[in-house]
Amino acid sequence: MDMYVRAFQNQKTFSYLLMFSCLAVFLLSCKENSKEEPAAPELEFALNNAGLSLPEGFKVIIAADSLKNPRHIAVTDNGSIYAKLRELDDDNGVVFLEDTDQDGIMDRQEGFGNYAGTGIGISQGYLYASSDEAVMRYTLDEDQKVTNKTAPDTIVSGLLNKRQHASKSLTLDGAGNIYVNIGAPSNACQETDRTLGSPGMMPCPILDSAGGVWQFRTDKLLQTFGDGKLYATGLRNVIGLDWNHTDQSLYVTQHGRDQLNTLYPDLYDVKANADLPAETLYRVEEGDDAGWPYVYYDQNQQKKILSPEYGGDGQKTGGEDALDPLVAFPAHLAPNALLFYSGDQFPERYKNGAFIAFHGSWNRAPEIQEGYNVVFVPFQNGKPTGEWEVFAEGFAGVDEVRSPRDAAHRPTGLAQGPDGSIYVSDDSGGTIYRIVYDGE
Amino acid sequence: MIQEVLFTELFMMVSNTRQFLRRQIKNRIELLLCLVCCSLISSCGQKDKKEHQEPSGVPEEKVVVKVDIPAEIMSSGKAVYDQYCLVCHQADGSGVPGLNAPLIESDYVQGDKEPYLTILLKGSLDGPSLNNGAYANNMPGFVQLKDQELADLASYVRNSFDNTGELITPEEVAEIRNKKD
Repeated sequence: MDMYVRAFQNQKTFSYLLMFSCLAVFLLSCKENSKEEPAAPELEFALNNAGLSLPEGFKVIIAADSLKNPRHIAVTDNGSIYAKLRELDDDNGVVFLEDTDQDGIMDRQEGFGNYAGTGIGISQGYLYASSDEAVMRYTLDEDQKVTNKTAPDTIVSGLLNKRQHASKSLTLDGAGNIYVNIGAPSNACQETDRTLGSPGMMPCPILDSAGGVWQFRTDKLLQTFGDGKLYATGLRNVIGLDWNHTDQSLYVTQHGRDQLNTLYPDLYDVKANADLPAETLYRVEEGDDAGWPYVYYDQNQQKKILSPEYGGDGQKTGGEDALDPLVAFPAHLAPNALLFYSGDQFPERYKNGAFIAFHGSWNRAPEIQEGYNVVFVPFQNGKPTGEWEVFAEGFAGVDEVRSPRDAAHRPTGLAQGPDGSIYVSDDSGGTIYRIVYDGE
Repeated sequence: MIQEVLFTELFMMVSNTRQFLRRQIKNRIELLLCLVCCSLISSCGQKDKKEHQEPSGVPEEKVVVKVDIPAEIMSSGKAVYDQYCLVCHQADGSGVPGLNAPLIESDYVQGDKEPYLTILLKGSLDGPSLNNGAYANNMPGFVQLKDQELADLASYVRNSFDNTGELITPEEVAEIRNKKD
């Protein structure tokens, strides 16, 4: 205190002291949030988990933000990220993100690939990325960096793109095959899409070229649609799919049909429309049929119900030979990514279970929208061992989403990092979240 | 040591504000520097706040009637909207990003009647010509609705969601309906 008084009496010393202290306060106050700070050996966890609610012990890092509509993501063996963009960012449709100081926040980025799209995946030394018509392949070096950014191989091109359900999401089995979603450019295969009174086409001609998952080879270049094998059909639109290496099987999540009430107001009221049909998770084997457009799955009756376009009344069942879902979720939540967890970081109960990223609904209107979260389903030996549960929520940033525009962030992609963290991309706010288990 | 000086300094700054200002006003450079530092501190805090700020609540449905549309037309138009349009275009007309076009302050809605009535009647399976077809879902036509229903709907949408446009009559709907492609 004596020292202070002396300093205060000395005008000049006081002035320097004041400036110094202001500067010190500035530096201290900014340190926590600044990304320009020098290398921090520890992970830079987000304040308040970036607004997300997670089970006890889980923490969030904002690995990246301000990206242009990142769809699916792939994480390399050293924790770098490849994100596929829905819209070109400065003519680039893929962004490569690196964390040079290992604080968890990506601090270097580089774009390439002059096409927008959704699908991306790493397998056997290659990076695969899709536009809405084609799948490209890039060669990776030992650091899993792309060596041929401007000259990728074309695995397959000319896939159907009629705007609606055009995302060519993909997964790989590590045994020479790539599985590509070709979504149906239709809601329910009516003669005129989404139009009152327009009947369902019988048989549905769309199924010849879409409404399923096609299998292509990874060792053949320049394949056409005709070179592919229809692996599973009757799937309206599969944005989330993953090859499960524990049982060597393909699992897919389907976006169920829309507009039961607007198209059939006599059969379905507004509440029924918000409630039906289920969003579904299937395990598919070659040749399987999930029933679209002829049936939908009613999670309340636990039955496949004949679609009203094909003579259904909300009660009549159908699709006897069609698959039953392994898990049925509430309607319209839009499952945009599926990830089987093989890491060791999370508690034991998560091992081999499925994470699903729900983009969030729009077709529940005027009821409150739902989804905008990541859910978890415990699995063992290819079968769910418990009910699905919300794993991460709060992405929307509002208590109630009335219209999708209200949501600040919408989960779209999932990937697992080399340390067992999981990454969630958001194509609305442009964020990539990394979720880390930091509990006892 | 530094912290001690720092906190004592701040404490004295607050408790002797008047004295402090009187002394400091003589030395404007130091004051200026101090203000810059203070503004940096506050801007740093704001950035933090902004990053974690949650968007404000659900936007109210805006019905701004600048053109004099009879209340019963607005009301019957809203009933048609709620039944057939709301599920895609949403209660507040905000649409669905990437899928269904928004109707808020829409050039399409407020513009010439013919293209607007044409898309209401005939739909657009090639995608509405909005933002180069940035909306993936097909717009169905509503040819099965009556002229009066479509006219009320069109008048309602043209005078909701921050749009303004003159009344549309059933005769105008009939004219577009009967027009050969």
